[in-house]
Amino acid sequence: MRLSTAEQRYCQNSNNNMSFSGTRYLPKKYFDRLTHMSSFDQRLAIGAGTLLCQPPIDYFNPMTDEKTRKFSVIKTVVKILVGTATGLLIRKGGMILAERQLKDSEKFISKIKDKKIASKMKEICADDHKKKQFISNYGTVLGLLGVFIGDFTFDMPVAKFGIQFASDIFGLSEYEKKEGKK
Amino acid sequence: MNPFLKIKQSIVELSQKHEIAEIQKWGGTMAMGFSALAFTGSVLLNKGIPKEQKEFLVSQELADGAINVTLFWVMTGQFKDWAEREIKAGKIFPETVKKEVEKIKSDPSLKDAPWEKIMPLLSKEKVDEISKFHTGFKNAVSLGGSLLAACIITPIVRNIIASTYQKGNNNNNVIDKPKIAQPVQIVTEKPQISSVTKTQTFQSRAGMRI
Repeated sequence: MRLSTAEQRYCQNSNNNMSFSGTRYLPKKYFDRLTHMSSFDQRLAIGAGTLLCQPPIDYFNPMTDEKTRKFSVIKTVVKILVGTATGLLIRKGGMILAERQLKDSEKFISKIKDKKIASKMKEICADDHKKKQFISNYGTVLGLLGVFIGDFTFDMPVAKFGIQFASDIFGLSEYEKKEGKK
Repeated sequence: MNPFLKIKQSIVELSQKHEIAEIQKWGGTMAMGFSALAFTGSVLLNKGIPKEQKEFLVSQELADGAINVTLFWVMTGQFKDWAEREIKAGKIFPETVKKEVEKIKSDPSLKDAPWEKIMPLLSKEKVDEISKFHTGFKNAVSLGGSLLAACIITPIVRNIIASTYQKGNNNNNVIDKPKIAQPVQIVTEKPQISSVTKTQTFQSRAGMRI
């Protein structure tokens, strides 16, 4: 079946509806700053952004009562602070560990028993650009593993303590109520 | 083999095979899920939070995790893919190379040429400059998408979900309450006559002492 010219044009437009119609020239200085943005920088930016936006949204939530809103704000602030701090530390730790391990690449390769992986590793270490990319990948994987472990061993107990501490300060804790009755 | 060495070898293999964007995509999704579960646990284990507020916070946290993961795949990923498509299509350039690119694009055969075809026609310095700019543009779009999702959409949607859940729970509690709240106490024992002592006095209707 042949499509008419108008139909062909419509199909082209509908396929490219998410695309700029022409060429765009954007200011270079704003984007150059973000060229070397690591996952650490991205996590920091998201942490700062959420700390600015989420607590006011929770505090002015019109669909629930004041007490719930206050608990919600406390939980959100504690979560952002604890989550961002551990996320940043673990990501940075992963990158530092990866860089340290690959400083002496021969020693690193000698510990790999699988021949295929070891030979590919030799190939990567011979090229500076590939090595840098591998360090970045390796550091990210190590960091992510750290995040999984850190979530339950560090974030959970620290957040629990933080919420309790903040609830006590703002007089929201049930313990305080019970003590007050006594 | 030592299990730690085996794990390390698997990590090395994973880092060799996949690109960082792919690792971050899958790892990021899993990290968001784990983080939501950990913070849900921190609320559940907290004895100082009243039951009603705990219900709200747990549903808020679970909704937060689910929305974050969904938005990450549906929106943030799409933002990044869109930026890559625009770059490959030769539609995004820094202002500093406007003259050079417009000169190339003035040729009718190169008007809609992709970046790959424009690249060889520019000097190495300009190509490096544009490539650096492209990386920055991709990062900016990706960060913009993440910020929009994490700072605005996620908190609003998760609050709507948690509030609706809390209201539904409160309504159910009201319905479940029995309509006759106070039980009626029926006394079946007869009054014992022996309990009346001699010293006790009873007053008749006429007000005379018996």
